Amino acid sequence: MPGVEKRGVPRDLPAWFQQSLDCVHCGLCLLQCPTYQLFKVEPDSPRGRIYLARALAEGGTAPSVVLKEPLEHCLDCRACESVCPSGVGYHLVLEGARETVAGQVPPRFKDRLKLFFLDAILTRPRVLRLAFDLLAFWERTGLRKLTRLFLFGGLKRMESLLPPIPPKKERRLPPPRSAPGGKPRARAALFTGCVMTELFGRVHYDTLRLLLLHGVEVVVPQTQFCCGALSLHAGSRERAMELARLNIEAFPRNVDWIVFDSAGCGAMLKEYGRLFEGTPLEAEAKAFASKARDVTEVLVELGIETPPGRVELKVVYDDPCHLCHAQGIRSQPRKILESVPGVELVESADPERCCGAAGIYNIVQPEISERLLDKKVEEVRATGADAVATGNPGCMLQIRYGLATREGKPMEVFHPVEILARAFEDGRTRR
Amino acid sequence: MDALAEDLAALVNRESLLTEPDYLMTYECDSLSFFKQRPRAVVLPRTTEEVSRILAYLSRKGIPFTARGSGTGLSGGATPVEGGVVISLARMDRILEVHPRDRCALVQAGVVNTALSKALEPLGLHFAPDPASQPVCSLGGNVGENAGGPHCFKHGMTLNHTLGLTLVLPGGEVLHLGGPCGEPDLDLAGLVVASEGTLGIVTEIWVRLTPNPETFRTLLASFRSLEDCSRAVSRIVRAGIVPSAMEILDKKSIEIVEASVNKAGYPLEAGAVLLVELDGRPEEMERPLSAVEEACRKEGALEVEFAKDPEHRMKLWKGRKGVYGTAGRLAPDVYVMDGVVPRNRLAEALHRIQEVTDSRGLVCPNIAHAGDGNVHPTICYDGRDPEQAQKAEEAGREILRICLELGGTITGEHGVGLEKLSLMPEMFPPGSLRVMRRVKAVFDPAGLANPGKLIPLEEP
Amino acid sequence: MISRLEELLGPDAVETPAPGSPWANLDGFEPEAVVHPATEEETAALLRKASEHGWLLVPSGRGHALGRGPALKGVKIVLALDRMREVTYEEPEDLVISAQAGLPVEEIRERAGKHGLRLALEPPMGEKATAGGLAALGRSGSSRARDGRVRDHVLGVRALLSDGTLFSAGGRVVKNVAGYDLVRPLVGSRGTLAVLTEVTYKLRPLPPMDRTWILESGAALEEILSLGKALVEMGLEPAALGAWGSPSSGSLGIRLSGEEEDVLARRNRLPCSLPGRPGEWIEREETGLLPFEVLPWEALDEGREILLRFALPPSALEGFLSLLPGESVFFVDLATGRGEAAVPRESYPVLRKQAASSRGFCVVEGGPPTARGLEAALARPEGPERNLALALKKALDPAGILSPGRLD
Repeated sequence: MPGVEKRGVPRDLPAWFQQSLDCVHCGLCLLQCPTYQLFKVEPDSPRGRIYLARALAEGGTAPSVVLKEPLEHCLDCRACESVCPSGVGYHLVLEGARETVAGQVPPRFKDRLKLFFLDAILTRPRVLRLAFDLLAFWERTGLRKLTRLFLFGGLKRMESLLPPIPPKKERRLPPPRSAPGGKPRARAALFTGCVMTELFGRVHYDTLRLLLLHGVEVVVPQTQFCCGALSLHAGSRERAMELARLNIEAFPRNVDWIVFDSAGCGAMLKEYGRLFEGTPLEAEAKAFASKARDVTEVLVELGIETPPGRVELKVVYDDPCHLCHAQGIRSQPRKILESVPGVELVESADPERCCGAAGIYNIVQPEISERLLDKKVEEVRATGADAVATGNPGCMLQIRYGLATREGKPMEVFHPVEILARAFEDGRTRR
Repeated sequence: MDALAEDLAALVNRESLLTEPDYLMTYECDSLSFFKQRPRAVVLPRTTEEVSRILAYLSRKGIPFTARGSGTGLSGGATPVEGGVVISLARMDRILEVHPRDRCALVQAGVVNTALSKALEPLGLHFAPDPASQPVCSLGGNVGENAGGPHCFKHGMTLNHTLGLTLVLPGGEVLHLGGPCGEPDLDLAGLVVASEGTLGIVTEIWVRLTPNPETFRTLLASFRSLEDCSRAVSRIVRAGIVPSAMEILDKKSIEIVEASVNKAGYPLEAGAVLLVELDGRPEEMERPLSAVEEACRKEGALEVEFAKDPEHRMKLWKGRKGVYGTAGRLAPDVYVMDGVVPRNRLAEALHRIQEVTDSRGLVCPNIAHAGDGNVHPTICYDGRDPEQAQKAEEAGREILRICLELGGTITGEHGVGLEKLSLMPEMFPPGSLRVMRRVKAVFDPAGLANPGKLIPLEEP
Repeated sequence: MISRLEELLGPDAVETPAPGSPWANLDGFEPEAVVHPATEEETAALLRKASEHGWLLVPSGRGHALGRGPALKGVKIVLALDRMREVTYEEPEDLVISAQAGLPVEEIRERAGKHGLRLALEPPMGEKATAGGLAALGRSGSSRARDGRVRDHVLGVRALLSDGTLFSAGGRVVKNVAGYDLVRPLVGSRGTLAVLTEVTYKLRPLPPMDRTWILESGAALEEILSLGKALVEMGLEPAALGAWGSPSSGSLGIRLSGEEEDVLARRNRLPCSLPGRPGEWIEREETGLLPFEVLPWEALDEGREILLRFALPPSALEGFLSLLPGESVFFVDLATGRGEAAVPRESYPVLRKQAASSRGFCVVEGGPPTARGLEAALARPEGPERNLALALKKALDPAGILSPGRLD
């Protein structure tokens, strides 16, 4: 905190522990926390988890399965950070505590299985591509429909979380370099991420198109990696740093921005600097992080061109946690939507409360995730909107799944840039 | 699971009970982390009937208990008692009845202050007391402490908005005191307000609802010094103006707010700012507003700024309400005081408070609900350093003595709890403490309801 | 007893009630002595003595509220506090005044008025009330909608238990949560728990404009109530809104206070009159509705009638008032649902039942002492709430000498 001296804190403790000292136990975070809202117990609140983490660091308690549970219940949505007057870096405390516990309490078998899946598939682009090719085959041949009949429990749920696999051309990365007509106003590199490309590759193309329309030259590094967020949140800092290093190397230095269209990845990219604090890579990581921008940030900064076409749609915008709480981005996506002629933007009761996706949370904590999703679906349906817009693949999957599995009128799920891009598209075809 | 846990589980259910030591640890203090005591168990009932069953059981076993809402109290009122059980009312969070025409509602004790006002929004009503912790604190907690807030200068404290309540006595007996129309008989509900859970557990509350003001006018005046600022407050009161709120923030508070997520745009060069709000119908704002402005200018205001729109107003308020938490950035521990002095002694009080903390080298942002003479010096220290902790405690005590000396009180809205127990004999003649002990014994003859809080147990 | 009292307080402080004085007839019997202690110490000494000997007594200011509410039983001594009339603390800048129990409320008003302030309580029969009596009775007047209840205005008290123990509760500042708020049960306890010796009141600035308009229409209750309801729903936020009269012919009064422009703007929004009826809003010279508020008392025929005090949720008023027999005289505060009515004795059970079913109450406040028995007492007739009230009484007044009959 600039200008204010922090008194009396010894400097030889881990950074996350120092963060925990900023907590004065005021409790203003409690009701912001989705799990506290559900359970109303202190250990399932940010304040309670910080208290436990602090005790863990000070030796007041030891890692155990009991201690691990509330730490795992946390969605890491960071809603608490948005209201913390003391500015506690809660996610740092949580990650620190999770790491400490993970080192000493082995994960349960089914969690190990999930972590293996995470590490072996998601963080390896080629394996991931192959996996989705197989999924696409499974779907195209009608086997998916068939298997559905035999699936039960967790697997059945995972199957229904997975949307139809997009056609192969959408799952390809955009070309390495695209230039706008005329002299470029800026140069950007597109971060594509892992799942986003395989399931929402069309959004990358829309992002690309909009950037070009706004006069930005776009490069797309063809070998890039998962941002590392999923590994970090699961307590595996090493793996996260490795992925981050690979990405830092893969991206060109001579760009103004590193643009992403997935809020979760974006929040992680912006953290790269802190991740490498005190390592030789620090300066480079900080430079990388300082260029990271959400596509909606960039478009608003450039000034959104009025699209020639119209999209007649009543849309409710749902804030991805990693956009509003982690990055403080709230108005830009709404401005994007409002700039589209024909769009009526409405607000739901609590757009900033997590939908329960939270990375792979919806797979590892299905019960809590489903309960949060119940609330989310109820609230977005109550607005009477035709579609939900949200800027993160996890949220898009989760809300789509939620709408499909809960009774009520069908609603579509979009990324905000998809709607803007469609308005430009519409204009072109009309002309 | 030990016998107590088994018995409790049989009374409620396993999901309503916490017994793991790690989980119990998170209940060992409320917002005042100076005092810590791990409870034997935490029970989370959902109905009055469950509370009654639990209390009947605990009384049979002679086990003390402490009620807890959201745990945002600042005097240790919800700190568990040694060997005791915590009864968390957090899951009793239903609004049971709303009667807009009669301007009252029946709520469970765990309903959160702003959750009620949010639910009432479409009806144009709200619950008036607005403690800084209102987004999280429970109405049961508000009743337990008689919570106030910036706007109680005009609108009153929780007591003034409590019409009746359901009280479960320590033996499990359920009493309905007052009601939507109050009582023709003794005002026992009023006695239970501010009793800090020492008379039993309040499970349901009839609250009075207040129509939302048509308009707000908010202004921020900056001053060279705290003294000028306090004099402006006296001048406003003298002019016969009743603003809904008048808040003072000193230089240190301005600095920390401006460096936090609640950045409000307070001028960093000012020695103090005064945040004044008026509410009501548009026709009743102009004269008082200009009278306030004039009073500020006459006392040497450097600048007077008016809130431009509702967002600006919210921003000005968020800054103020976040001061306590924000102070966490200055030191690991924060001790927020809650003394009251007569309004016209405010300048003197603030000056002397500053001397007390300065002379001990303690950092202490100062804020005050100036309209009520309610000061909240926020002492920052590192509790791991015994010397600092002692200094903080001494300074706190001295500040409250100053309040007493000026004709005030040791707590305006945070309660006595554990924190100010030892100051009670300085505040009250022995007769008062004797009467209070007799009152306690009427409700709680076995001494099981949050014992050791609010009044010193033994005759000195 | 008389000689002991004289020994204790001096002969000029002890009298036998003169015929015609307010304390000559206490709910059907005559007390043996009226004592006028001059100080808190003397009062304490008297109480100690009374406790010791079991002398039943009733504290009083100037005696005007005796004969109201639950009937006294067997009182020997009237403890008149009318000689204790000092102003003990006065800080107009802090909007606070403390007065000994016997100080007439009128004097507080005068002092406050000099500083542009007011005591924001207007109990009926206010001109005779004392600082202690006002708090002990706990009756706010028709300006309750704006000003709230008596308990909202008492910041602190000094009081004596029946054993002579002096204690204080609350304080002199507007916010105070130190210890149990003993002020609350004392306000409205009618001298059953302790003897108030000093009361600290909040003061409020006088509003720039305070006006009262009345509509004497002679319309039936139903019409009056529906107009009253409309006025409430218009959001006029009146300082007082009262209806009075008899079921067949009622009147309506509204009081608006605040900034001049605001009062006049709201005045202009008042609907001209009742549809299809003559009459219009006439401004009263005096402000407030006091003369109408005491109408039921003036009309009370003790031979066959009783005076009921009631409170109902405003939405339930219509149902309740429609049960008033034709000859009743009532005043009701439409904003808060409180009121009084002089009714034939036999109407009481049905009215009480109706009030209870609407979650309000209806108790006997005036009439012959025989009518003001258990039903009028400060403790409910039965249930755990009654037990608690009695236990509290026993804890504070173990000898049971204070105002016997009113609580138990």
